[in-house]
Amino acid sequence: MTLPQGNYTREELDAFRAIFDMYYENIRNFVYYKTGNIELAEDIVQETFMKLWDKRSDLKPESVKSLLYIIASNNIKSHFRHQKVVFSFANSNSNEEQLQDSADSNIRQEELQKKLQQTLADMPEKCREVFLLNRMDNLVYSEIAERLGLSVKAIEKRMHEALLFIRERLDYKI
Amino acid sequence: MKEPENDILKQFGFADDELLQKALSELDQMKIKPLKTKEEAWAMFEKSVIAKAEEKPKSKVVTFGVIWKIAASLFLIVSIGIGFKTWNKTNYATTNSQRREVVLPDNSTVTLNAATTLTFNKFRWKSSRKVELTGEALFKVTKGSSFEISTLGKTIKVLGTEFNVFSRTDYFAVNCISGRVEVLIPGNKQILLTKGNAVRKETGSNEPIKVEEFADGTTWIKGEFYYKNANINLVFDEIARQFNVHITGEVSDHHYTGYFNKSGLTEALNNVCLPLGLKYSISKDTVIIRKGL
Repeated sequence: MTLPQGNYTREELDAFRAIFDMYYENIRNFVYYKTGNIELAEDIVQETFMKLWDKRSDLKPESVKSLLYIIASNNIKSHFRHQKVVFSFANSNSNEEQLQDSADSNIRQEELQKKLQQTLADMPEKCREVFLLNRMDNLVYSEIAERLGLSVKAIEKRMHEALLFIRERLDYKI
Repeated sequence: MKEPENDILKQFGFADDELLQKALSELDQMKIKPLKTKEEAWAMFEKSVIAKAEEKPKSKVVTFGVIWKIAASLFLIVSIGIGFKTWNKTNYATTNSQRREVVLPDNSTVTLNAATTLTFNKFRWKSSRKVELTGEALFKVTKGSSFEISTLGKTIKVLGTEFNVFSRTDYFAVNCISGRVEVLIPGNKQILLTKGNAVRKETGSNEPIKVEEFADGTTWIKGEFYYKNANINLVFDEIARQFNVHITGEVSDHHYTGYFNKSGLTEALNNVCLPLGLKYSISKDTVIIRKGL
């Protein structure tokens, strides 16, 4: 194996910035959905791009995306020791609009959000990652399938399982 | 706006489910809270690229200190020792929530459930097919000379067949799926099982019970666990192993008939606790079971 080259040119860095800008958020979200830890996700993305950088001399444009997902997955595997994931999403339409709402509905909404967070945390990782890639990143099944190296049928199955899981939780806890 | 398949409620037949609809629209309004912006992340990346470029190549001259020499010889001795041991005995083990398939030198396969160890002597395998087992495993034994399993003082002998063994400190069971299985429990006559028979023994009770009707004891392979009038502690022990948690609390004379699977801890606990009127709470890796009101 050859050692990664330390020297680089300005052009290389600029070209790499384009790749970084295009995929940074996608990869970060992908890792986040799997691990549930945003700090870890951001660290892993850095490592992932660093590894890609070391391989920059023999990168092909058409394989960059899948390579990034593969490196990220491997990095997750080597970090993976977590038992319970804790999700924290922010609510985008938070305070402003809701100020005039009654206190009661505010509390109920907060409660529903908490429940959803917990439900996502308890959801099996394989369902969660597919479900969130679809809902949060708006990826269609074929895109998810390509990224995870699975069939579209498998993605549909996991989506269905995820939905059933949420449905069941809503029943139990309300 | 969204592609048709993104209307997942319709796709999976939940179109009229208002509660789910509300939950999904709530979820769609939530966003990830990143700690760094993309620009900050890039700045950090650029910094480490520069730092890497400035790194000087490491010197290639390596000198061994005395401590290193000692460490190296110790390492050599230890690895020879370990190598010798593993040469004689091959050991396969699973921890909690693991499952694993082992292929023996004669192509017999053994699937180990969680928290199970299987040991055998590779060296003497040709002359005697003998394994030691603690835990639960499904055996598919290739036809040939006698195949012997010793497990916590009991012995199981077969020629070539398929069967499931559950052998832990508080419970012992063998389910014969095909062929013939001989079970030897100290202090008892040998028990011969044919297809569809099972033998069970709780520690403390002297008599093993031979069961004619056969409850398939092998669904754990798929991560599914079925029970018929089973002692509740056996069920909770299995949940503890499958999900790697500790379960404590006041449970005694309950018997459970039902099912749980590996997909989620709370789901499994709901399956077991709700019908028996038990309550549970989870904190970190511990589950506490209480009697319901």
